[in-house]
Amino acid sequence: MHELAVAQRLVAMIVEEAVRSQAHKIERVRLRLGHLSHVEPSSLELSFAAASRGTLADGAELQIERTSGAARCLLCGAQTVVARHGAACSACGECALLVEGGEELRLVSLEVS
Amino acid sequence: MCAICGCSGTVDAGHVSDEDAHQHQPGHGHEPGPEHEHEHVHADGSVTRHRHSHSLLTRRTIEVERDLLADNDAVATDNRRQFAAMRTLVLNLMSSPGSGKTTLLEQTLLRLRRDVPMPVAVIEGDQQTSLDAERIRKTGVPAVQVNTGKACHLDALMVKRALTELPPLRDGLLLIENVGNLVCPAGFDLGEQRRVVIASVTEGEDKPLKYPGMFAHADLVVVSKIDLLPYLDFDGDRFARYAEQVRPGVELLWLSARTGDGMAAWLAWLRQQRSSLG
Ligand SMILES: Nc1nc2c(ncn2[C@@H]2O[C@H](COP(=O)(O)OP(=O)(O)OP(=O)(O)O)[C@@H](O)[C@H]2O)c(=O)[nH]1
Ligand SMILES: [Mg+2]
Ligand SMILES: [Zn+2]
Ligand SMILES: [Zn+2]
Ligand SMILES: [Zn+2]
Ligand SMILES: [Zn+2]
Ligand SMILES: [Zn+2]
Repeated sequence: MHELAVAQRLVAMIVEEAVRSQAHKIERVRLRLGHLSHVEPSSLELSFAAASRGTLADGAELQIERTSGAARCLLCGAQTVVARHGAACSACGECALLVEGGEELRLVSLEVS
Repeated sequence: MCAICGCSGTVDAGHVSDEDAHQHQPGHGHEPGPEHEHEHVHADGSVTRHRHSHSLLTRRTIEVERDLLADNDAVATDNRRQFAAMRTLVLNLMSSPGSGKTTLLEQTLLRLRRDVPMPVAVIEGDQQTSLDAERIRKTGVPAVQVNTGKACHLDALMVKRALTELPPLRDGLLLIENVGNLVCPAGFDLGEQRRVVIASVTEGEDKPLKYPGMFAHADLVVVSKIDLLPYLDFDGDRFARYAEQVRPGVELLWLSARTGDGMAAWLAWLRQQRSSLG
């Protein structure tokens, strides 16, 4: 359950940001989560609800924007978009893709009041 | 700092009102108004005053753009720098529980001592027990056990701390056995120079496809327990194809720590990686 560790880290980060700008409550949190990252969004949502309880972020809405994976084909050189590890190249059909992006897990912004 | 109102008290102090820590006095609403002070009373009786103006109470957006794993990555980068200064090859060994990581390490250490003496140390990661570190110490090699508790993986900070408990290493080899888990350890950079994923033949040939996140970043895939092949219908070609699919060009080594079959090639790989550090 590393989603819980990730959620605790997230709560610490957003509370720090909110306190710095003297907010009273965190209303919404925007995350960018790559399709190839090691975090499962539904599991993260549950963990976030638990980790935020009793903090400024209690009850905050978690908005997760998914970004697609990016890969380069080692055989034909094509750049393609992939939804998972182990996918085939959309140009040549071979499974020779080197993952180059889409593993991010970023706190984008928060809405506070 | 208090996580609820940002006052200088501790979270442990607790707040009188759990409902809304900032509806302090009746009638104190959130309509726009000039800057003023008001009080929070904490459960331990302490009172804190805080200033705010209600223009701040309107909904607004704070742009952050921060990587959630930035902390771990920063420590991992630091570790990597330290490993380079130690001129030491550091491997992160990952597999599902029971694939034979500790057995492979034991056999590796015994052979290294005989054939290529060099400073070696081991960091063992498990949720509980120090059984694996004890097994390693029996080979005469220093080992630190890291117990991750509920965590399902080692992280860079655990490795950094463990390092301080080991005798200084120079021109050597540091072997890190991660928590037995084919999912989570893949998400946490430790600062290692090479990632070794071990899969035993008893697990079946579909593991690279089922756990692509793990295999997608492997520098080497070790297929272990090949002495058991006669008793199984494990299809090695299919395994190799699947591994190639999620990690094009990845090197595969087949070995049995039990019979020693394939151990020479593994030791040669270790030596080669060490010399490629420069
Ligand atoms: N037949 C056979 N058995 C092996 C081999 N290597 C390990 N084993 C057995 O597999 C079991 C697990 O081995 P370990 O080395 O403890 O595995 P591990 O990956 O360190 O396990 P965890 O640390 O619990 O994840 C033990 O019973 C070993 O004796 C091998 O090459 N052949
Ligand atoms: Mg072990
Ligand atoms: Zn996990
Ligand atoms: Zn292609
Ligand atoms: Zn307070
Ligand atoms: Zn207030
Ligand atoms: Zn007020």
